Amino acid sequence: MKRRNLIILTAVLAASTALPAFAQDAAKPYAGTRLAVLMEGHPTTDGIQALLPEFTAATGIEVELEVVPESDITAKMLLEFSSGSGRYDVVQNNIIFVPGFVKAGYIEPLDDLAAAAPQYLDKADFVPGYLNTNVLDGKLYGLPVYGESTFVMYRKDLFEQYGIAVPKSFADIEAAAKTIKEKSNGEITGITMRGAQGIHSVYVWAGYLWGFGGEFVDAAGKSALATPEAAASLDAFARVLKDYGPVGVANFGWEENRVLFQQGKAGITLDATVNGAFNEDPAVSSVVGKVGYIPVPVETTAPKGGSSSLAVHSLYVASASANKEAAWLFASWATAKEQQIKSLALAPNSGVTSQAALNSDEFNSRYGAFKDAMIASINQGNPQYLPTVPAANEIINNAGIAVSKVLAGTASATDALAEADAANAAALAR
Amino acid sequence: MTKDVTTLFYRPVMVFMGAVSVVITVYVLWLTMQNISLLRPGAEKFVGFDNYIRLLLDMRGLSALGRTVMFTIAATAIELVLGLAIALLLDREFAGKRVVRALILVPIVMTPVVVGLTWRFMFDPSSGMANYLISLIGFGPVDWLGSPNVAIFSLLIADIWQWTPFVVLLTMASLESLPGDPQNAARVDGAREWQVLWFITMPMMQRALLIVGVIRAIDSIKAFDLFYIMTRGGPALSTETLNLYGYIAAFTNFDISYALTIAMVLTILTNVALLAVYRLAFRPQKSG
Amino acid sequence: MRKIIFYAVIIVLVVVVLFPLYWVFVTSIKSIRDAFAMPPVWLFEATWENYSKVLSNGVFLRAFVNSIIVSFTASIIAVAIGALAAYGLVQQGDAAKQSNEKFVLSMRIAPPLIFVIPTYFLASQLKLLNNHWLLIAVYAFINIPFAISMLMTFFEDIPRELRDAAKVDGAREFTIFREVFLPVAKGGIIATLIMCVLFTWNEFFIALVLTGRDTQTLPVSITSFLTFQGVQWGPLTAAATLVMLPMLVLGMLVQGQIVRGMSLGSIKG
Repeated sequence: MKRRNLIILTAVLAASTALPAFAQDAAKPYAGTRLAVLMEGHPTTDGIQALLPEFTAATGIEVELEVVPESDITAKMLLEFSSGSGRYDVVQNNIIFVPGFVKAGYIEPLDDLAAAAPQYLDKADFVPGYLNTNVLDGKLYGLPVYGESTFVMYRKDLFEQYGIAVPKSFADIEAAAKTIKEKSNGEITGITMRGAQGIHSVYVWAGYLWGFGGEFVDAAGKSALATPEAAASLDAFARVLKDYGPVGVANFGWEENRVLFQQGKAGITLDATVNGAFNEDPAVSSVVGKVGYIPVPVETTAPKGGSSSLAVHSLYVASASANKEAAWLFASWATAKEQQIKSLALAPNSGVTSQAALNSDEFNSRYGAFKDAMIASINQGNPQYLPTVPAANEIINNAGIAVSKVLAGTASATDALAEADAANAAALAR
Repeated sequence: MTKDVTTLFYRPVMVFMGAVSVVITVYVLWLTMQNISLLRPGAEKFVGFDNYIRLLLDMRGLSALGRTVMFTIAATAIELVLGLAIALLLDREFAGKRVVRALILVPIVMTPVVVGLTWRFMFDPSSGMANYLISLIGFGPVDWLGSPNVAIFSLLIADIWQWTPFVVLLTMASLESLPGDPQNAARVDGAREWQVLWFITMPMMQRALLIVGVIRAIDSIKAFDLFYIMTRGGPALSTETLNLYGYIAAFTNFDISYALTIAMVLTILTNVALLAVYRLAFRPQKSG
Repeated sequence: MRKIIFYAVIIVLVVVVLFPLYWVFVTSIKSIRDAFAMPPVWLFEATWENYSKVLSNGVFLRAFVNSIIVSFTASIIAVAIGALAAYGLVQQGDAAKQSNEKFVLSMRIAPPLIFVIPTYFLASQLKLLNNHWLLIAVYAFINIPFAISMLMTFFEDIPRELRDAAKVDGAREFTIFREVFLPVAKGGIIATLIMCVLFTWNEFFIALVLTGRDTQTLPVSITSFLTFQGVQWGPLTAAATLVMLPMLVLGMLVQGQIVRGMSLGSIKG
């Protein structure tokens, strides 16, 4: 694989140096174009940044990459989009915002651009679940950079020691957490999950919500949080954390949760599949090889959607961009399998979206321990896991307040969700 | 004649600053009377005072306002009392006074974002310094940022840490500029130290303390960096101030008009409160 | 005995005041394992790895340059304009001074949220986003009222006789300003400048909204160590130390005047 890349690179370099004036115009129609690209602070971004000189060498396009934290990126691009200045040519964001962006006319359908310049694109190589989330009304809008699902991680050694069976339901998880806490005399926390107000707790609780047969927004587009299913799911989520969770869980974000588990201080966690990479990394983890990975359970026989998430972060071409063709070239190049495979070595990340990268030796040796469970989760990942309506962010924010209130014990699940439901209904109506 | 020339030095500046302020205020007022959302470009329409009515009926907004008031009063009062106490303690000649005074400046100079991150790490329930220290004296772990009953106080601690030095330095400066005669006269007459402090020093310090208090109160109302970095309003909204709610309305919900309405109302309320303080505090003194 | 207690209290005070700064620095030279160890490791092998990581980070270095450009230019403009206005104001009666004091305070009230959004819309119309001058203008504007009031306290210390003597010699107002006031109040002017730089350097919210790729300043740049996949404490604390160092040095240099300046000139009166 490496050799082939080298050959490509050499060929490209040879072409660009050997036949300067003549070859340049034909092979590099956009040479000299400057692209402004807005991406999230993430290992995949680091990888792409490191490989940028190769893109410039191949196409003559200069890329100016602006990297901001994921939590600020949507506000940044929306301010920009709404002012119509066309400052960013390519942006990266979470799939949940795409319907809103499409409705507002902020991002460009890619099908025509792809037909005109397909050289980097290999649709069949993307993990289908990742690519399909970017298709709206039959049109392709984005190319996935990284993605993940969620699964349950548990300590095989502890489960064996205390004679606990692999959990098949949320009730099993609660029972297992109880056993671990009691049998270890409180030395080991039964279960840890993210409890911080906002996207953190909502991202994890949503697994419970779907698993108990609830949903955020019903088929008719109405807010659907004020249901017995939703209340039961929130009760279960808060109860297990309050009774068998760690101190401080109500302010746990992804990081705090991950660190606690990888330090061996907790028996179970439910979180993103990328956490597997940290559990299995001897440099930061003391639980390497001791972790089992299973899908997020369901508690009902009639779920309205899968309880595993499907979170996909993709590149989009801005409608206001003056360089859409060059922008497309960059987006398709940055997500192509060659770059993904190379960036596995440069900035390792288990969220790669290329199947070739997923099946590479590099990936298998690093992430083999949880790869099968991860792919199983992705395959049953629910693209509607988080609401994908224009008001998604506000709905998540309101739901996060409800989760936080119940976790803190300042409101009952029914009351908190009724409040969130009313706020969501207002947001959907605006 | 001279007056006319010297006014040229500041009039244009004041007129310019005032004009910009007025333009921005009018523009914001106009924006708050529409329903601008970043997610619905081109669908804006005039809605009159709807946003103001919405805020008036918004429980989340009202409790954020209440929280802002409580936080401001608590932070200002504690910082004033503590700062005054430390300033009085340091108001004597001792070896190393200059060094101590210089070191006290450090929290004020530290970048607030970094201060927030530092305290967030120190308040970490499992690997933070705060729980380690209290475990040394035999207390169980406290859920500093995760409990809705505690989180606001954790923020208060960070705020007090950063801004009490400001009160200390200002109070020290004004203590030094006080004439020493009245105190000494009282001491000669046999007054005890606390009497001197209470009846002579404090009245002379009144105005200075008031100004420091007003500055701290204004800054507490607008406090953003620590809240944004440490809790972002959580858990269970227990640390969401009105300023933060405005930020969330703008940059999480993308509801620009409503966010500006919140900011506008906050500005107006602060102005009213400030005027009231001015009236209450400065009137009697001027006549006296 | 009293003396011992006194010094004990002072030491506790200094420790409390300095501990977070100490912690930031110490974390920056610890390995990841030491930094997260509990109970804390007090003795450890120092590593400068985080610093080399940060110093080879182009984005961070660029932010450093941006911060220098923006905070110094904005502060110089604010102090220049502020000095002119302050000169005019100190010649006026109490009424004018008092109304200025209120004006300064009222400028301080508005939460930044209220003006960053209109400014953003305006700047995007004028194609000024991602331009240093946008930030410079905004920060200069915010600093002017502060600079005026701080400089007034220094100008008021200048004896009237100096000005009157120059007046008798037939000097024009601007000459008096330049030849008499500026040299005499030099220390105060530098202190004012440093205060403005300090404020601008540390400012986060306005920068968060109004900076772009080419103009990102340090406080915003620091938050990029808070990634989607966790906080990189090592590089973060190294960056934080580098960000604070120049301000700590500047702050110490002018600490005497800073105290006066921060009182907004009001305390003396």
